[in-house]
Amino acid sequence: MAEGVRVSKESGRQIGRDTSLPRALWSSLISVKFAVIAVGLLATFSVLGTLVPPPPTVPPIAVTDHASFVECLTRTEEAWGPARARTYMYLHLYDVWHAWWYVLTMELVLLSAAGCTYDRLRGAIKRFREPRVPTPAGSFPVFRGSATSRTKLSPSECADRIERHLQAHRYRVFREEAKGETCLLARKGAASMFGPSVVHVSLVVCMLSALWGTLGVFGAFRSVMAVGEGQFAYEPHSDVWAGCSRFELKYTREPMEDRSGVHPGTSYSVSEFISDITFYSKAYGSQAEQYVEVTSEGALASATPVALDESGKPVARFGGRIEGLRPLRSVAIRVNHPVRQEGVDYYQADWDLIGFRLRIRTPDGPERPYEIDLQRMADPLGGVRYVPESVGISLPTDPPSDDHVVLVPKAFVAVYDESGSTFAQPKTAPEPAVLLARVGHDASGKTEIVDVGWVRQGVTLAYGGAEITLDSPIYRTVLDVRHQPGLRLLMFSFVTAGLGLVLCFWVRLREVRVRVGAAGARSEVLIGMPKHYRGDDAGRIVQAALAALRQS
Amino acid sequence: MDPSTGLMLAGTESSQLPFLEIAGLMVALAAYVLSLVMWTAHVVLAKLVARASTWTFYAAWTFTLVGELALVTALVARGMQPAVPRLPLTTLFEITALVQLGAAGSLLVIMPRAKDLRAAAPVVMAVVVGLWAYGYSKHQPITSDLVPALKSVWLQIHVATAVLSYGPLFMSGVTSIMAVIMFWSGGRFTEERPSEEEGGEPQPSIADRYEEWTYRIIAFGFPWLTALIITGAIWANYAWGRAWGWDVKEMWSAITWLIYVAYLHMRLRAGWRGLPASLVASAALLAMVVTYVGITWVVRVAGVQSLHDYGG
Repeated sequence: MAEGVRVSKESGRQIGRDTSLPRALWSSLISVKFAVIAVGLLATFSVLGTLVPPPPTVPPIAVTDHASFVECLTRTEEAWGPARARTYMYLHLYDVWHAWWYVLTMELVLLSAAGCTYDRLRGAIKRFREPRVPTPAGSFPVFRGSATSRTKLSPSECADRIERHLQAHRYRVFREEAKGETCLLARKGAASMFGPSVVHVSLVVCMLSALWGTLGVFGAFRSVMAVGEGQFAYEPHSDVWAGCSRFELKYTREPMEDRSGVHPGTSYSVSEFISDITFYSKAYGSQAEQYVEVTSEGALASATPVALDESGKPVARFGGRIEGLRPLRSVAIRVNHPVRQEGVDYYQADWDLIGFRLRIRTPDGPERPYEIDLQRMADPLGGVRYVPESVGISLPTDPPSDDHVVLVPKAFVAVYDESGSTFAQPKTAPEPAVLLARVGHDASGKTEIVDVGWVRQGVTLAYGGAEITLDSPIYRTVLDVRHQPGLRLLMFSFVTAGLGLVLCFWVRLREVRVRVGAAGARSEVLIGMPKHYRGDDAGRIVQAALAALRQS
Repeated sequence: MDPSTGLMLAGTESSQLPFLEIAGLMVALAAYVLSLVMWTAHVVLAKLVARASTWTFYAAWTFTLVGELALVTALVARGMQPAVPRLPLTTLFEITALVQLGAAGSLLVIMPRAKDLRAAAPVVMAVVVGLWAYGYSKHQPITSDLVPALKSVWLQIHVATAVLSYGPLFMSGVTSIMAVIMFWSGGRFTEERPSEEEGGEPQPSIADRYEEWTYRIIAFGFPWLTALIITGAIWANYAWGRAWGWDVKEMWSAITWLIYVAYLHMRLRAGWRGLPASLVASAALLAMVVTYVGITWVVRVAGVQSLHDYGG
């Protein structure tokens, strides 16, 4: 072979001279050294990526364009100094996983895997279809379980007996005769030869599907849909409306020894949250208010607290309706149980507390519902506090007069406490209560606000002839909306990877090589298993084959 | 369930189950310690008294099995305690117990087949006892509340693959480190041993045998490690709407996988054996330990957030 020519270890074919740049590049690409370097670099960069801190900006800045980059750089320089900040920002360390150098390393691994797949698959097919049966006599001493036997049988009879024995043990036997010698290659578990290729294919498919799934040009998108109970939201990609009829929170209540929870001595944890969603077709003829905001950067902090009234006008109240919607189906969306509608997946992601309902029955009128917003505010003691919107609720006086009593919700607590304490609360209200206050005037005519009492779920507050009850809180569900065209391909790659690994590591390729020739008046049999076989039973397999020679 | 409020009440069960859990843990500890003593005796006696060596082997193996059964009993009792029984697969204590099961279980399977690895057995058992102590320090009474994302059939599948991968790979890490020490120390560990048959091929050195067994165990554990990542990705897709989120834990599991990939390529394709292969396998163990218990540290050092830090 000419000097400088390189040969593939797998296929045995010439892959070119190093003097040709394309050939040299190709041979480097499919080399193990390149693969190990690429994989090692990716592992090293990944370690680095997990240890790099986020940018020191408060609040965090999502670097999506030049302006936000400059703002982030400025703030980072203030915190860390110019040199460190510029290194950090220009090397894209604020988002290592999408930095050019990290993506390049992943692409190198992808290229290496693709190149190896091509090279290995060709080699595996060739070895599978046209195995090299002749085995040099000098190879046998290094074989596993290697043995030599001499017998009075003729060489062809020896070969026949061993062949029949191996075939009886489900080996596929290849036979070649040349120069008075017979060579056998018996093989079992040949599918394992394709294991590495299948694993490489799965890796390539996995990375391609991830690329496909993240590129919007192929139709992939992700967005967030925040929709309150009784509201609707429009998903423009699938042209579907979604209405939330109910949002349910399930709690686990457990005693707490340290009494530092929401409620003294009791801890509440959310064990399940479920959105009852109805999908609707497009509202023909209506002016759709778009509530879902789609972004390539992920979740949005807020959503439009708007519903449409019966005439199609947006109103900032709950319980809106949209005319002309045709229900498609109703579903319950839970964590771990996403729903697919029109090719778009809806995942239960989050929720928030946005209001509560009061029902007031007066002696002279029907029961009237009041829906009151809650404003989320930071609590000075930590956590958050939900403050009710200051809406006046007018009640008739007792005895009746032209004047009205005006009540305002003063405070809202997630869990009622006898002491009247209000705690910083999570975005849940397992046992809610509202403190109502009366707005009036004192003797000097000044406005005064006097506490009336707490209204709790299931406990009616009687005041001035009216009965006031508290309905359940009103929640807003947050759904992740995703279209992942590469998902099926990704799942296919997972299955392929599993199959390939089973073939690689758990299906054993057993090869028995035999060389039979004449040695004087006798026949000499050389037999053994190539060194790639790692089983402990090589000696037993070989001895069993030799035993076939001694059978009459 | 409290009918008046509809709230699930937990921690109100009164039974012998907590006692059974603690008793199981204590029996497991005792059995593991006795197993450690017996494995050590087995190593010491191997060159002195053949008959005693055989006896200690069976005793050590039996104590290991008893420890496994006691630990399983403790975990079952733990899972039965909440108002709604659940599989104990979530907290750091529970996961640590499962890794103990996997590591000691690997010993049970491998030791009868690999007498050459007898020196690794006490080391593995010592670490299992250490894991027991670490896990017990994190022990808290079981509660019925689970993060909604954990309420999935994929939890069981994911954790099962974790046990099947971490147990053997942990043992391969121990054998690789011992191989590294042997290669470095040289001398009698790296000399080829004469064949028992006259004129036969020399047998590999004891260090080579450790290195070979390291590969064999990795060849079993690596597919399960891949399955661990794949099942995690599928579960994450159901729970969070994405298969891969660049979370710290996800990245470290990928780093561990990449190191094993490099190891397998180097060993199977480039023919690296001996010390270099053992060093890479040891590095993989280090990455696995970081993935398993070091994420809290990484999160603190880097100041990042992780979706996987509820395990503590």
